[in-house]
Amino acid sequence: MSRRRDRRLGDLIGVGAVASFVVSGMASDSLKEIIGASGGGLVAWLGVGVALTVLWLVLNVPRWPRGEHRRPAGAPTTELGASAEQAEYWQVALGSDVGGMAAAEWFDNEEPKLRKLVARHAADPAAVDDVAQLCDALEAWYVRQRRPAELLDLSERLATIGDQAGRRDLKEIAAARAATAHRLAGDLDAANRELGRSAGLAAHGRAAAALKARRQIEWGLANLARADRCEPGADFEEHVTNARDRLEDAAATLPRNDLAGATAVQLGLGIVALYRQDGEQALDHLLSVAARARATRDRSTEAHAQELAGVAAWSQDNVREAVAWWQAAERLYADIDEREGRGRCLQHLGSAALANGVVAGLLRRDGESGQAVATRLLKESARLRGGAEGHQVLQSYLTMAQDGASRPPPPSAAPTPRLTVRDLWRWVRRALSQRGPRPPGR
Amino acid sequence: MPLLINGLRVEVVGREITGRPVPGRPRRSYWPYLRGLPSLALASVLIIPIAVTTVGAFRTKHGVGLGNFGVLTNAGAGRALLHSLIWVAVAVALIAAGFGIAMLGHRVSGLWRILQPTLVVPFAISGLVAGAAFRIIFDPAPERGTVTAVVTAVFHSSPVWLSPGFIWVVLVSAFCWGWLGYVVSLFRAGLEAIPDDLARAVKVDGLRGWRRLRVVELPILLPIFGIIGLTLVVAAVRLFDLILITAPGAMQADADVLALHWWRTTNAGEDSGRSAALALVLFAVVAVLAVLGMRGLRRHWAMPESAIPPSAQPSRPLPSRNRKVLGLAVGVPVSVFCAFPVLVLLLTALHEPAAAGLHGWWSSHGLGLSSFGAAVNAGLLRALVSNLLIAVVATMLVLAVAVRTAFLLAWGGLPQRLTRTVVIACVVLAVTPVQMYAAPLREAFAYSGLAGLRISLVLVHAAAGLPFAILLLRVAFASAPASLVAEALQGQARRSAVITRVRQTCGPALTAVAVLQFVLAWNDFTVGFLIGGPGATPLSLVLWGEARQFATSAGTVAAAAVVSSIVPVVLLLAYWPTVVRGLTVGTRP
Repeated sequence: MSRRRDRRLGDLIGVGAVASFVVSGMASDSLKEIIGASGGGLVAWLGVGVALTVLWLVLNVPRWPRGEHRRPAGAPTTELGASAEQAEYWQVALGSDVGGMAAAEWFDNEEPKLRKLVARHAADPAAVDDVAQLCDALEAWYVRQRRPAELLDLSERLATIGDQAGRRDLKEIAAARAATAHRLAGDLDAANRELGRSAGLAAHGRAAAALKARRQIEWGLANLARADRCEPGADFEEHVTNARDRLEDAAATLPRNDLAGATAVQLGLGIVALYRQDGEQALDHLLSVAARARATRDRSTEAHAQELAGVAAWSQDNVREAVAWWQAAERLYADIDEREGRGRCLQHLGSAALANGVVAGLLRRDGESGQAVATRLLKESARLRGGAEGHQVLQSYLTMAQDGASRPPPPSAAPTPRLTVRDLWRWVRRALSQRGPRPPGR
Repeated sequence: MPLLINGLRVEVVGREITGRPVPGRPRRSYWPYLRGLPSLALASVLIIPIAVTTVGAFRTKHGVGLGNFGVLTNAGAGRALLHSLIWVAVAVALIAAGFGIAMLGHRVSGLWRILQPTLVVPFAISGLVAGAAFRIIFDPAPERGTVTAVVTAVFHSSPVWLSPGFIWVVLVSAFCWGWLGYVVSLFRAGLEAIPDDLARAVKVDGLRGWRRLRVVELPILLPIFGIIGLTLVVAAVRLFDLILITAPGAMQADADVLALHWWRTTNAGEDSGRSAALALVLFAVVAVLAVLGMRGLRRHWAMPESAIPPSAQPSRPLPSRNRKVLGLAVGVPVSVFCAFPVLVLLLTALHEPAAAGLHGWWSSHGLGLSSFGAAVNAGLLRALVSNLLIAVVATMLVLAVAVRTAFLLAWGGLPQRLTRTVVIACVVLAVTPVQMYAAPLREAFAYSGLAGLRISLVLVHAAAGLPFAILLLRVAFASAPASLVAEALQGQARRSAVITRVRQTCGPALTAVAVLQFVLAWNDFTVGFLIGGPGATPLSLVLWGEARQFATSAGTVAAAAVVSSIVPVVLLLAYWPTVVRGLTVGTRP
């Protein structure tokens, strides 16, 4: 039952309690006659009144603990409070089409200051809520930027704050964030340890379901990362199956109104389908995510879903559609200045141009060769991602493209795109078999 | 996460949840299943008797075994099975012919204006009425039977059409007459849905004839081939009432089919296990065909709204002059073929009963309305009211239950495997022959005191129509723009509000379900005949009662047929374009 419904029911019961007391204590004889209440009846009404009062109290209790953690209403009085509010505001805007670009710029400029504030107030138990709020915002920024070292440092600080303030919930979140940081850094064993620690700290609070789902998602992603380290075979299958199970558990655990969680789970299931080379099922998940994200104006998630839809289209041998999806995703990422995502899309396009002449033909500018197209895109990707180092796939494709750039392109590498009977046949088949996966703007 | 896909190493990145955890409890996982309970309850009206029949088919006097299937070695049963297979071939041929007519009529809009009403009317008419019309047309006496009279006039003699061998000409004609409109209309809707830009591109590319058909039309119409194939083949295998009324008693063995043979063996006091075995064979044939046909029904989610590019050219290439002439040359005879039996019925009904028995519809002797009076005396009015009640209540019940279940299957978040299983179950249930559940249901109704009551027929009609309604509505719901539904869901709207929003885009499918369910219940003969009793008095039973003395009551039968056909014909004519849109929703590329 939702908080509002709890409260409404509680209030109704409160009214009932008052009514019972009125009937039992102050009613006139005539009223007693009307309602047919005798002396014994009055005792019963009194009992009902007491019972309803107790119920009203029980149903309204959750309001008070919540109030403990809430900052008093009105403008924040300290620099920390003001920064925490601002950070929360920009965190909400981050990735959305309403101020997404400005939010990225704000975080870019303010991040050092926010970190200093967290460090300065880490030992202040009175500022624990504001610091936690800052940590929430910084976490969103670091995850988006794929900066595991900073994320790990932040989670350690939050754990310390939680420890000092005796806040188990903060320690639980901190451990979950540390797990994410370790996974992003490639240390999957450490990630698992942190997830276990977070699960051990789990309490039965109002956010317990969301935190449990977060751990399940993280476990799912860690399983997919493990699958990456295996050759196709039984181990690979096992990790992918585990990932799917974890994500399905997460879907069953998520709170009803956790929209970000729901999209993350479905996106994860789409990735699982990609690992199983099931492009059609992947598209089912990804297009649904894209539609939800569009409805909530969450550009970042929409772009992510479209990027993965491109991968799904590629797995189905639909080269042109894959390119269209990646281009669309790249535009969306650019709209919100999400350089990491944009860089990934350019990497997909560049590597695809290297692997497939049709893609190179679609992306060519002024008579470029296929390798030149790939080199241009991959270099741009490396620039956006802060260099190719640390990005194994990007590095390998960039080297490949630069090595071959001086060679003339093979004649079949860059055909002129024109409509052929074969294209028509494939278009018709695709129209029948994939009703949904049509990239926008085509 | 580098992933090797189609020769490309792709870096796939998952999505983490960031920020403050959202407070709240998980959604109740059992809730969607509870919402499917009404459908399960209604479907159990069929499922339980089907299970009883299946068990009965394997239960012999000596225990459990395949002994009952020895009924198939009986010469009569073998012949009935062969005839049923011939009917499947007829259905396939009709599909091919319908496709040809639709192709010829495609883009000749003037032709379609002539064809549409004449094609729709036969589809709205019950098998019983169709049988009556063709029995009148093929009457062996040249003074009454149109075909006999024409053939005699031309060749000085005519075969007896209602005799062994020739009876097939009559039956096949009646079957084709009833279904041709459905086939052509659906194919035409599919052809119309071919994107204009593709049509132009094909023309520019110089694709013509067979290559164009193979590359463009056939693949695009594949889902429609699936729907039509499924409907027609199943109708052919389940054929019952048409043969019962068209073939005179002595000829029925020559036209025997599985469904009819089952009824005959049941009536002849055959062991119930052997009847159950025969019903199970019929069911197996139909179920296999249905599951094969499902390949055509396997439709996917529709494109998101924003992904559909607006068509730059609203018009498509115009037909050539030769094509127009060819279209008219085929369309006009088809139109006459469709309209003629209706005319025959109408004119026969306008003769007095005695005159209708002695003279043909073209005779001016004995014109009058007394045949209608005779039909009223035979209980027509009471049967009309009864039919209306049964059809309306069954339709409402189907809609009330199917909408929620279809929504649940399309958007309710059920596990995919469960959804697929339910869809397959619905397909199998949708095509289950009445014979599979008639005997146990009749016993159950008799035991519970519901025999002969309208409520029993309402329940059976609703249960029989439910699977098809769920299948159609599910596709329609799934074809609703995903963003529309997502928006409604994201807005934390109540489920009913979401359903309301989705329903706005699923109007045609809802109309199609309502109209078809009403028409099926209205035109039904088999359910009423095999399960209902005289108390329920559906219209078709009155018609059947009169048709048993066909030679003397042709006028009365024709009058009852005309009156009974008015409601479904008007309904289908009024809603036909919407029904076709609803039936083909989700098949458009």
